[in-house]
Amino acid sequence: MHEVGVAEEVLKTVLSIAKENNASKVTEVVLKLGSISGVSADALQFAFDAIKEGSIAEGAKFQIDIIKAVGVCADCGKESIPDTFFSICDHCGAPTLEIVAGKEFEIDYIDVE
Amino acid sequence: MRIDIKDKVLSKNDIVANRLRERFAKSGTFVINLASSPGSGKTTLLEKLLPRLKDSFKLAVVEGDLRTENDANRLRQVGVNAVQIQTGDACHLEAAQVESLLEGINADELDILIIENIGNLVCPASYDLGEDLFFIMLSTAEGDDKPAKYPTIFFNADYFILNKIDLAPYVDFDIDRCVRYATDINAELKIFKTSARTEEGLDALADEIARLATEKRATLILR
Repeated sequence: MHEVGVAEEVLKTVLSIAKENNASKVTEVVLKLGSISGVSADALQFAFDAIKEGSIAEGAKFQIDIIKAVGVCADCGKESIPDTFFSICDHCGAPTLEIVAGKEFEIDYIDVE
Repeated sequence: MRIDIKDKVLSKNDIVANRLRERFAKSGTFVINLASSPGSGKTTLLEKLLPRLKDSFKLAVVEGDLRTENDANRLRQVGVNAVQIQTGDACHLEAAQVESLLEGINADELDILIIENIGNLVCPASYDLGEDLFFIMLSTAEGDDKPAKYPTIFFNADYFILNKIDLAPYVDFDIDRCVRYATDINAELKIFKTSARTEEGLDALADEIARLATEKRATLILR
């Protein structure tokens, strides 16, 4: 459980960008989170809701868009969406899958007033 | 008003880890981040492995645990320079904790720095410590399907050390099955099978670390 620390980083970034834009209130925070980023979306949501209290992001809606892991097979060229075995191509079974998405962790956008 | 950001959350940890990586590039120090579950034998492995390297390389170990100085003391007893981080209740090490200890171990003069992370197969996967290579370790006492249960950390690892192979027949551990799970998650994983107790496989692992450390030092000379 390290999501509280991660949520603190997100909140700090959001508050600093809101301040740069002279906002008095953050109404929405939208994140993109890869399914193999190592961060749990549920735990992050819980942590963010807990720590935003008392900040100008207190009333913000916190949305996490999950990006599924996607791999492209270096052998057959086809795309797979692996859940656990990130090297194995769903189509030809070769251990030549190269992960091209799923490790993301970024703030997509925020809405401020 | 909508503000597009589309930027990686470059956390405080990443900033420190990048600073560490630059520093280790300058000093030519080869750095390993070693993670595993508790009790897989990380410290015992280091106790047996590092005496094989300590005459040829200047090395040190950063030990991470929630409490106690036990592990650093164990390594000091075999003549290895070791410092202990006690995280209180935190489940992983962070780059800033490593950075804060570097002066005490003359890090810039080291050839090899090994960071023994907190025993945990989840959180250490998310925290870069400025290492060159990430080692994940598992012991046969834990069950051969652990890679499939904790795929993220195996996906992020460069090396996989399977320890306590001497116990495999007694705990119904299928080594081939475990290795297949691990390489199905990460086909690039380099695998070493060891027993810290019988010292099987330790010479090969020591040779590999010596090779990697020599390579890193060579980048310094070439520059």
